[in-house]
Amino acid sequence: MYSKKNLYIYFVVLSIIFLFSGCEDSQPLEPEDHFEAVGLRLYSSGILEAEIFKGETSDTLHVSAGSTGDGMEITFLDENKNEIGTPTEDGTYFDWEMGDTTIAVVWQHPGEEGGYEFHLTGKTPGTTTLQIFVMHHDHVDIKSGYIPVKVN
Amino acid sequence: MLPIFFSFTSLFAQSQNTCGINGVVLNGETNVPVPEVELSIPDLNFFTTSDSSGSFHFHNVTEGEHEVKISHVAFYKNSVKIKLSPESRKDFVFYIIPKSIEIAPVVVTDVHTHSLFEQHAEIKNVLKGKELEREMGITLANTLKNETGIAVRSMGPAPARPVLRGLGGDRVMISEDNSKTADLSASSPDHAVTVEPFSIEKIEVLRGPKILTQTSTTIGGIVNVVRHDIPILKAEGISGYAGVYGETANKGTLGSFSLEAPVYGINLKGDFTRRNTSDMATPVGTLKNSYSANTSGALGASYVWNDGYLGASYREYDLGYGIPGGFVGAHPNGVDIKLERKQVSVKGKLNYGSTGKEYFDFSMARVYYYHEELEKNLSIGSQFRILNYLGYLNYYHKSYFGWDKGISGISGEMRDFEIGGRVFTPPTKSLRLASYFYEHLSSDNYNLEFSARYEFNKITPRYEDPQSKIGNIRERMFNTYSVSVSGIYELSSVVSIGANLSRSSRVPTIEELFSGGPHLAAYSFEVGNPELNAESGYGAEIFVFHRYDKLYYNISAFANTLDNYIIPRNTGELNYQIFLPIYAYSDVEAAFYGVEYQVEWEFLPGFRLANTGAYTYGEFKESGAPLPQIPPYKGKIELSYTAANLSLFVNTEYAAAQKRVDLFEVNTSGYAVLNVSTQYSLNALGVIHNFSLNMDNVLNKEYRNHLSWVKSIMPEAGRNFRFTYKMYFNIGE
Repeated sequence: MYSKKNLYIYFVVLSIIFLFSGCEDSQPLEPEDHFEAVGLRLYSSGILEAEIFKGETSDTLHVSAGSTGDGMEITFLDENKNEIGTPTEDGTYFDWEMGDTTIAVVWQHPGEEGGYEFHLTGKTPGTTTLQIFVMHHDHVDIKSGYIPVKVN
Repeated sequence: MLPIFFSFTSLFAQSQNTCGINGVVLNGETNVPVPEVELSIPDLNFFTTSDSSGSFHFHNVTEGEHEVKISHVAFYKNSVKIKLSPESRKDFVFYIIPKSIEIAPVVVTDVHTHSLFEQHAEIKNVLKGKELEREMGITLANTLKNETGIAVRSMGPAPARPVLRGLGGDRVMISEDNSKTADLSASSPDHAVTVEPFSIEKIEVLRGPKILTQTSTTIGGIVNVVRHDIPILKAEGISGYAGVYGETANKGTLGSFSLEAPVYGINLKGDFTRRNTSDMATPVGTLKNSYSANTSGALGASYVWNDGYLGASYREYDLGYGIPGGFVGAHPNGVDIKLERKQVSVKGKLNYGSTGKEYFDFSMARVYYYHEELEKNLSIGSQFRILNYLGYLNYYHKSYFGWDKGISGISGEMRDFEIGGRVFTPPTKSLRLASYFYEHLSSDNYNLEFSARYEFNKITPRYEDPQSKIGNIRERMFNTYSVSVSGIYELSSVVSIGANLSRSSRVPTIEELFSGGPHLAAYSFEVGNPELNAESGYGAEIFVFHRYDKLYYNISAFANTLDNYIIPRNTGELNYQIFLPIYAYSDVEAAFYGVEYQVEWEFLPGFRLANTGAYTYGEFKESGAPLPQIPPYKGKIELSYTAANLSLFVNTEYAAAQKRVDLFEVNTSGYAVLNVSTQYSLNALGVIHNFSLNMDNVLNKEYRNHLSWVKSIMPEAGRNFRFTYKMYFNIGE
């Protein structure tokens, strides 16, 4: 038979178990700092080739079929169109999406993949689009929007 | 001692020293005779079984005192002491209390409960037994989707949550055994409810004054699932169930079992369920990345004595599921989510006084919830960790200042909310303290309920930032109160009318206050508002219910207005970093009006026609424009036939088009979907076998749920075969 005293002891034990029950509490990642940009400019040998801001551009990138153009360097823009350089956080890198890779492709110097400089190589005459990403561990952190590419 | 009742009428004696005993066993909730009940008089070694009319007979029972033991696998066991003498003439009527395991379908017109409120609620808002098995879906919300006034918000099959009268999120509390399930399902449409429906005994949709003992939001409601992880009654013998479930639309399979047994005076109980589903097939294609896999289980123990019980339990729920892709700004291949919830609970009840009507009831729980959202390459996009401590202490009292019975209580909740990854809501602690009371009064032909609740809430972000992009992130404190009164009046023995008036309140959540970044799985860039005030509003409802022998109907109309109604609204703007639509939390004045009805008519013996429907109209009070995420008029019409243990059902679920939509919200077309099902029960050797076979969307019709976030890319499931088998057993003592 269980006396009231036993019940109180039982309750206290249960309460202790409850209060100190050790579900493993895996520590979450700390909130990450984030590179914030809403546009970018593409420079080739210091000359502005194209600018895209909040997904809108009036510029077109040109390259000849069968040739590789000069290198282009990316610099990103903040809300006020100030140039803010390129991301330096761990795990970030440059990536892209070419709408039609039979018309043009992106090429980077071996060993410089993921850096923020690239060349366009024209394949066949036509028009397509290039979208530039800042990736963070294979997830898109920043998208540029679509920049027209014309192969002559 | 269970509330088992017996009454005395006439008796016949067969001899001076022995007599025969006649009697009938009735279901204490429905007054329906119960066949195949085992009755015994151990001291005489007499055994018998009730026949199809619930009647039983013992021959040659000697005079004097005897104990009659009564048992049935679907009812709680008990025993009755009887005293026989030549002078007394008795037929016995034994009432026994069901365990919510049904053999025959519930006959709504035969429900009999202890108060008009309970009767109304039992008919309208409880899903249990065979009806629960027939409606069983892969989530709690899908299981409830055909209940009157309930719609389902979803983002794929797994993350589905019930919406009551157009109100969702935090305004609908989900609880297990009256303890809140502390998860993130209320905060976002991509977050799943951490409740496995297959192992539930019963689901209650609670409204009215009594819910203020658990929540301050009277206008929403509570969906409470009853499991009794901590046994509250003495186990006699080993009992439990085993079951399987399968469906074809998503190649879903499930296995589940539960066991309860007394061990050295302690009641032990455990259950385990494992479920897997693949991508869902629709009439126009497969909804990619809509799979799910979950495992859940619990262990509980209690000691039950005459004056109460005390027990503890541990429950764990693990779920992995996919969020489909293909939206603007979404991953082409979607997102995967993994979550787990671990809960330790302690509960008890202690009688006070000698009547059994006064007692203390308490509960404490520690809940650990962890959730991560994964890109397809398994890198973590978002992480959430919540540690919750919850508890309440209630005092149930008898007659008090003119009230027949009531509850007074206090409750508290401490929450530690931490976020990692690419989520911008600051880690935050919150504290909630509440005090409340509820009173009930019954008279000859009216019932009255009244309740009130006061809450103090403090929400403290880890860091304050007066200059943040969303505003001044700082500690916030709220003092709120809620009140509710309901009355039911019996115009006659078959017609009752009622009304409810309430003042509701709700404190903003951490996400509504402090969000500031991309939520990829929800396809939105969320912007919180640290200046939000608590929601407050008023609700009114009138209803009439009518219960003839063969006809039941219930009609209700409601009107709810909310000041500071907090909603995320699509601003029409894009976040130009990730091209996600920006949803900003703001408060508006909102109004909800609606009508609900249920009709059930047994037009021939065994044949029933039932029809339910619900309509909600929601608008911004200032402009009259439609509120977002309001379900259209929807209902169900069903023809059923029941003969002995076999039932057949044909029904059509239907919904009107929803063209009253918010800015940037998409219209939905109306639909009508045909479903058929059958159920069969077999009681063999004391084991009950329940079989349910359903064919949903027989005609493979393409239709869309207005509250589905994936409706723009895929409709609801196509033709689907569902099979449920559950076996209930009770062995020995």
